[in-house]
Amino acid sequence: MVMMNGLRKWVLAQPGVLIVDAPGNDRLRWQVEAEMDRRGWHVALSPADAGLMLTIGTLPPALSQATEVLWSQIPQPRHRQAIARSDVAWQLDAAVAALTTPSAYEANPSDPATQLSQVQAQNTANGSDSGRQGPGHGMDHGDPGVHGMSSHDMGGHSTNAHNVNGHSNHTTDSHSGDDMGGHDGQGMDHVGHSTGSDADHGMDHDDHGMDHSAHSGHDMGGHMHHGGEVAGLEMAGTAADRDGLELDELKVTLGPVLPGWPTGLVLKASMQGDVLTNVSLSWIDGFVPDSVAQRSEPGSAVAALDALATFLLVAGWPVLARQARIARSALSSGNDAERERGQRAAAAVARRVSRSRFLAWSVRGIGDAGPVNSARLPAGDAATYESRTADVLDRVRALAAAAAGDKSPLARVGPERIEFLLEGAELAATRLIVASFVFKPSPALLPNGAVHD
Amino acid sequence: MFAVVSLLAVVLAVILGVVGASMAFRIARQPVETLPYESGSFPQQHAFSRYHVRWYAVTLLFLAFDMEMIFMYPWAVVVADMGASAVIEMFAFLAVLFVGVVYVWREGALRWS
Amino acid sequence: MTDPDMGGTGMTLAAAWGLLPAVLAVGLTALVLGVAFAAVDSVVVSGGRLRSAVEPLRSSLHWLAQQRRTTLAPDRLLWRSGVIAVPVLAVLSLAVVPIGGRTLLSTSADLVWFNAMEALLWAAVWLVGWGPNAVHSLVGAYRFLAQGLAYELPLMFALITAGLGAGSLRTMDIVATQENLWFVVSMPVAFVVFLASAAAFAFWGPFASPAGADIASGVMSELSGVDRLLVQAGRAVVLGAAAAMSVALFLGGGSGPGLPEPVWYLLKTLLVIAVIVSVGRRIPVTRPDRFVEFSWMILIPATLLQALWVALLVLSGFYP
Repeated sequence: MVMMNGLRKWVLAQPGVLIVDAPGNDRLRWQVEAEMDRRGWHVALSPADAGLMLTIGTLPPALSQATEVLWSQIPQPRHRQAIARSDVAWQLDAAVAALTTPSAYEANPSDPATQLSQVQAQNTANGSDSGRQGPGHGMDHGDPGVHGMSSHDMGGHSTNAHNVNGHSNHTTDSHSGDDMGGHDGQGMDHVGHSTGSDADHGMDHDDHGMDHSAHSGHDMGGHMHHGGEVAGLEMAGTAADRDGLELDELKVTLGPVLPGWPTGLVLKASMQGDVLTNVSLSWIDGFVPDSVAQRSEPGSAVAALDALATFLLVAGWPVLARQARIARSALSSGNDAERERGQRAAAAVARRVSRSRFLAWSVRGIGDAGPVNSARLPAGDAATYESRTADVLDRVRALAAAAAGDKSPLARVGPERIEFLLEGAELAATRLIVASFVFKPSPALLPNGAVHD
Repeated sequence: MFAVVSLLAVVLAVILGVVGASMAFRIARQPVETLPYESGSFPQQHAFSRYHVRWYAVTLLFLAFDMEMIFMYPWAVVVADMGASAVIEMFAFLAVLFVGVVYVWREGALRWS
Repeated sequence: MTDPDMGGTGMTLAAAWGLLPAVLAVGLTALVLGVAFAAVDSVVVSGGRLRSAVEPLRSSLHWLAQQRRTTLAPDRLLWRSGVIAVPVLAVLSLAVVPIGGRTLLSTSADLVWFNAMEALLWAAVWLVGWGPNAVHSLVGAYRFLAQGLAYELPLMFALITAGLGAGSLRTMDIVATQENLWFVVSMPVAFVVFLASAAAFAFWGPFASPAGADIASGVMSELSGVDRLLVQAGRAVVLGAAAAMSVALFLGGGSGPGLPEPVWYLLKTLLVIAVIVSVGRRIPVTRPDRFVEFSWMILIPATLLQALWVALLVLSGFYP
């Protein structure tokens, strides 16, 4: 038994990690990523590959709702943990320890058909038929800064019969509270998330009877509001293609949580083949910029390295992306010798990015915001930025120059200003284009609805 | 051929064993039923759809060449016996095919983005 | 199609060792090659940490214990068939790769067999991507087909070039012809193209776009548990098998001074694996639409010229 437990710990010691970072928590995310790199953990590219879901900072309601969807998609054993403070290494230890406890084997509270019917009910209630990701009516409570514990992220998304079932979990030895967001409305009362996960004992009850109320055969015909629905979901409609053919058009959403994608950014589009049309790009509702983080803007080299690391991940160059993250972490350290090392590493990454012919061949000519189009961009910093940057390659080389110590400030654009670049682009090109920009948070709403600059 | 059938049988048996081992090891017996991953959003439609493969022109070109390849396998074996005529005929044929490729390329069918 | 089990080079592994040991040896070889590839890849991706070599083992055990997933209204039969087909095809392609100086299957068309197993991967990978009824997965599936249109012909020309040099499509004949001079010397383009194609049909490294990070790992995106294990194992075995095949076709098989043949064979295979990984991880992913054009306008002419060059050498009596 002891040996089996040892083996289990070893096997689960390198989980795939899905990171959901609230806006304004870049520094904390960098710390998490640096610690992950140090341990050799990998970023999960999809929930299927994830064992840990780390939420960083206080999530706005809509993002919190997204984490509920993601959580329901992660196979067991799984654990989610809110990272709120900077003793990251210790919190990751706690998280990975929780993976070996029975709490990592709790069943999902609801099955897909139920989830979908809730969204439909919500949309009907809101009178919105534009999309299923309606404005989040969740609530965000819990103040991790005060508790010092990790317990929050309540995302309910049912307008009526809102039932949020949360608890903070003050086990002194684990600090690993499970974030439970109930999202079953319509009076379907649902209790019984398990209690605390106790990291240090409790190894022997592996087949601990989990009373997951098995997915009782969901009623397929129950929610057929529209014609053409199968299992609660519509089939793709048809629309004229750019060649004038009448072809299937699939409505897709990219974001808010996607690896190599700014968390909270949402792209909605119709897809024919892998070409996107009717593109809209915006921050998810209720995105609150952290004014403190805004004021203490990191050096442009660090921000550029962050953008480069993301871009390199999207461009399928994981080895160099890792080097960019390492350089970023060294550059943002307080130690002078370390920072100097970081500068050298950043210069090396920048050199490889800007000299790679392969990369140039692969991404040249896409997302061209060249001189003709730049007239369509509004005045201000964005326009000056774009006037010297044409396509993805140019923008990435500019990022590389900034990473290597070019002092000119990084220009940021609002997401809606690059929509025209994405119209008619392929999915792959779209990802590269988005990754080649550094975004500024929109003039977002404060919780009370006031407009914050 | 019998050896290959045995190999197939062994591979399938091993896969069955792996699946069995996984059933023995995994604590959650039922697969998790989920919505497809759409970056944290709810899917709006089923992904099963008639996917517009905009590289369909390349598939036709490919078929033409692929058929030619079937002839090339036996050809490779007999070149030494048949001598120069085999080489001339094959590469003349390939040259004609390649004129077609160049034409298709000029028409832009090898680019679709 | 199968030759009578006569002695000498025509003798199959099954005839020499007995059926069961031979088949088990092929299975074991598949395992060793797959693990070797995955371990080397893991070390390189982690930035050269040697202890990362155990990660494939750890991941495999993790996937064994992990819960499986099923999505909303999947095409379950096709999905699972694809998942099983990937490792099956990978191992079957090893039937024509020499092990201990013999192949399990020795026919007059070994190269066609290898090619056929790889061509069937088109269907298998597409099914893996189609099955889960998910957008990213579907896009990945079609990307694999687009990529297939690009790498398939150069790969076939590379295989044929090796067969042309030997005047035979039998792997052991091709190895025997290289007794004096390895084929890599007279057909370097075919060698490089063969290795690149191997990366492409395992959708790995610079050809990983069907499982790319930009589409949330595409065809892999909805796989967890034992399903993910089977597909990942299949990919690793495909790459290992292709490395071993390249040794037979271009690097003289097990020939070498001093050491016994199987040792030489293994060493060369490991070297090829190391080269594939270290080169493949140095460059970003190619986008299929750019690669198709490059392939048709550069790689196909290059491999055809390579074949012409080898055909002329054959006519001149260069090869024994």
